[in-house]
Amino acid sequence: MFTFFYLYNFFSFNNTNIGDTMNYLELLKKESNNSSDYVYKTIRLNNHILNIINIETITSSNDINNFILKRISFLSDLKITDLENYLYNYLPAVSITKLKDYQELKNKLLNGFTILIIDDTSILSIETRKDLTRGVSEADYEKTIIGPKDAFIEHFNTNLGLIRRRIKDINLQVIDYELGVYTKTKVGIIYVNGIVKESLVKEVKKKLENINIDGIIDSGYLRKYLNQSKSLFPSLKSTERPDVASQALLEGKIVILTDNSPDVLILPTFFVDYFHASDDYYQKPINISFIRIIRLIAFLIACFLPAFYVCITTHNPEAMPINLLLSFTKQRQSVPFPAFLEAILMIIAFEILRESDIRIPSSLGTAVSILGGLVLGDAAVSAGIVSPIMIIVVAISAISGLLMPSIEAINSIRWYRFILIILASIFGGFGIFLGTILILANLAEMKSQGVDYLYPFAPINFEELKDSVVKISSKKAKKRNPLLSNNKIRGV
Amino acid sequence: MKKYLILIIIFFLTGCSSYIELNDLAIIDTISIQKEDNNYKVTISYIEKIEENNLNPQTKIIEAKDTNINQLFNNLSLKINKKIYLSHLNLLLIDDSIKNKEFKELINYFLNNQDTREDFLIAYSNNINDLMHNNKFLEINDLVKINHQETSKVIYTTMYDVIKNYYEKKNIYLTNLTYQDNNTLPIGIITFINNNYQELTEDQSIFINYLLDNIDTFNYTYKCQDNNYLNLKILKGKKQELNNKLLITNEINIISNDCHLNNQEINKIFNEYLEDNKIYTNKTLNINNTIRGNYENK
Repeated sequence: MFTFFYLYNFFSFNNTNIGDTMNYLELLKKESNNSSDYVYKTIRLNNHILNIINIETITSSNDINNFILKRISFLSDLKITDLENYLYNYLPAVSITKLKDYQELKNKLLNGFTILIIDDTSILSIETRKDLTRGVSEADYEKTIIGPKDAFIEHFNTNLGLIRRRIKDINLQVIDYELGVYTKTKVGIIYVNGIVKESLVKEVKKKLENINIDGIIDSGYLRKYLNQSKSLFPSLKSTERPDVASQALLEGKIVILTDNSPDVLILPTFFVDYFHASDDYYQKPINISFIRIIRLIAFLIACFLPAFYVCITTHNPEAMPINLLLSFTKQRQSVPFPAFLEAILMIIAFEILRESDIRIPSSLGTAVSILGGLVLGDAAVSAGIVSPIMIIVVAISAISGLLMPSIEAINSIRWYRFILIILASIFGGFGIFLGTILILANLAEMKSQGVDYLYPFAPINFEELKDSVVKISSKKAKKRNPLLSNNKIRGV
Repeated sequence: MKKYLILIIIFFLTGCSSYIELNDLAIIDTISIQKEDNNYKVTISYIEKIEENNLNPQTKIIEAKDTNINQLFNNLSLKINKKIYLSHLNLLLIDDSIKNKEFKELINYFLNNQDTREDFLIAYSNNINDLMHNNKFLEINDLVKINHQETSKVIYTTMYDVIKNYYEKKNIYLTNLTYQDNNTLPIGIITFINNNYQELTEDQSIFINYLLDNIDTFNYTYKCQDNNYLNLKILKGKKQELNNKLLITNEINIISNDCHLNNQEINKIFNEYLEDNKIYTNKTLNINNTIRGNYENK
C-alpha cells in the first residue's frame, strides 16, 4: 500500500483534467454513477497522457503498483513515440490486450483488469485480478471415507485445473461461454473428445447458446435450461467432487463448469446414478454391491414406509399380524388426529427441523437437535399428539432418505413420500400400487439429454447392469455405456 | 391431459373408500355360534381396551339372536359403537346344535363376507358359555396349537379346512374343548359325520392326525406282560391312496424294548394298532415298515 501511495503522489503533479477528449472515461463515470470503488488516475508521461482505471474491490493493488505504475515511472525520462506498442511489449503481464471499443473496455474492467487509455487513441487492458477465492477444501455434502477429499470451489480455473490434474490428456476439451446479461458468468462445457458423442456436445452447446437471462449466480441457474424433464426426480446430477466429474467425463458424459459455483453439472444422468457414490469405485465390488442394495432398500423405505403405515392402519389392518395390530391400536388410542394427518404433521415437522439444521450455525446445531429431536418428540408423545410408532415410521423414513448420495435425490424423495401418503390415505393399498405405477411410468418416460433415464433397466442392457444396483469386478465390465459413447471399449 | 384423465378414472374404479381408523375397530377375538329354538345365538368377545402395561387386552362379551346369520351380525353392530372387524378372528366355537344346514349357512356367511379370513380355528365344545366368559385373548388358540404340535391328540382345524372338507364331503374333525375347574381343557378330537358328532379315542385321534399328514412323527407304546413296555417312534410316515388301498410306509425307531420282541413281532403289533384305529375309511391298509434297531439280538 505504501508503494501505491508513493507512486500516486509521484504522479499526482501530472494529474490534469483532460475533459472532453476522453469520451470513454466520461461515459464510464456516468454509467457507473461515480461508483466509489472505481479508481481513475491520470498520468502525464512526457508528451503522453495515460488514464488508468481499475475497480479496487476486484483488482490487486500490489499487481497494479509493481507491474504497471512502477514500470511506467521508469519511462519518464525516455522519449517514446509509439507508447501503446511499447507498453504492450514492455509491461510484464501474461494477459495484456489491445481493446477496440467501449464495450470491451467495460467487460475487461468488470473482470478485474486494469485499463490504460493512452492519449485518447488506444486502450490496453492488463490482468490484475485479485484472488477472491478460497482455497481447495474438503467436500461438504458428498463426504467419503475412502478416496480423494478435495472439492470444487467458486473459481472456474481452479475447478478446471482439478479436473485436468486427473485427466492429463489433450482430448479433455473446454468450450467457454459468457452467460448472463449482467453477470457475464463464465460457463464451460468440458468433455473428453473421442469418448463423448458429438451429438451430445452439440445439443448442450445449443441449449447454452439459447440462454438469455439477467444473470447466472450459480450452476443451479442452468438447470432449467439444460433439464427439460418435468419429473420430480432430477435428471441432472450436480457434484462438488472433481473425482466424480472426472469419472463422468471418462464415461462419455459432459460436465458443465460455472464460475462462482462450487457445484458442477453432469449430464446426461441416469436414475441409477443417484444410487452411486464416488467411493463406490475405490472399494471391493462385493462391498459396493451390498451398500448399493442397502441404498435401494433405503430409497424404497423412504418413499413407501409412511404411506404403507397409513395404508395398513386406515384401510388394510388385516395385513398386520394380530399382535402388531394390537400394539398399533394401543399406541393410537389417545391420539386425536387421523393417521394421515399425523403422518403429514410429522413429516412437516421433520422438514422444519432439517431446514433449521441447514440454516443455523453449526454451534447451535446440537441444541436444535436435542430440542427438536428429543424434547419435542418425547413431549409430543407424552402429550398424546402423536403416537410413538408414527415417530418411528417418520424417523426411519427420513433417515433412509438421507442415505442417498445426491442432495437432489433426497429432495425429490419427499414429494414421492407426500404423493404416496395421500394416495394411501384415500385408496389404501390400491393407492400405493397405482402411485408406484405412476412413479415408474414417469421415470420410464423421462429422458436426460435424449437418453433413456431408466437405462440400463429399461431398455435393458446386461453389460451395463454389471455396474448398476450391483457392481461386478471392473475387469469384467470393460465396455462403456453405448448410449453415451461410440468408443465402447474402456482403456483403448 | 388424456393421461391424467385416465389416471383419475382408474383411481375412482376402486369403489368406495374403506377408510377407518384403528380406534374405531371392534377387533373380534372369539365368536361362538349356537342354535336355540330355530334361532342362532352368537356371542362375540371383542377387544375393548388395551392397557398400557398389560399384555392381555380387555375383552367384552356381547350376545345377539336371530334366525339369520347375516342379520345376527347386523344386530351385534347395534350394540357396539365401533365397526365389527372380523379379519383377525382367532376362534369360532360351535356345539352340537350346529349340524349340516347350519354348517352350510355358516360357511356361506364366511365365504361371502369379504372382511373375514378363513384361517381362524374352529373348535367344538359343550361348555361354550363357560369358555366364552372365561376365555383370555388368544388363550384357546395357543392351547390347541401347542397340544396339536406336541401331543397330536387334538387337531388345529381352520375354517378353510372345514369349508374344503364340507364341499368335498369328507369328515370334519374338530378339537373338543371343555371347561373344568376354572381351566380350559382340550379333551380330544370330535368328528362330524352323518350329521352327528362322534368323539374319537386318544389313539384314533393320533391316527387321524397321522393320516391327515398333520404330524410327521408320533410315539407308540405297547404294554406287554409283567408291566413291560415297547416304545416306538414312528418317523416319516408316507401315505398314498391307490384304488381301494391305502399304502403306508413308515420308518420306525425302537426307543425301548423291555418286552424283548423281535422285528417281525414289532411289525405285527404296530400293524394291528393301525388296523384297530382305522376309522371312517373302508380302504385296505397296506403297511410297509422299516424297523431300525433290533434289541432282541443283543
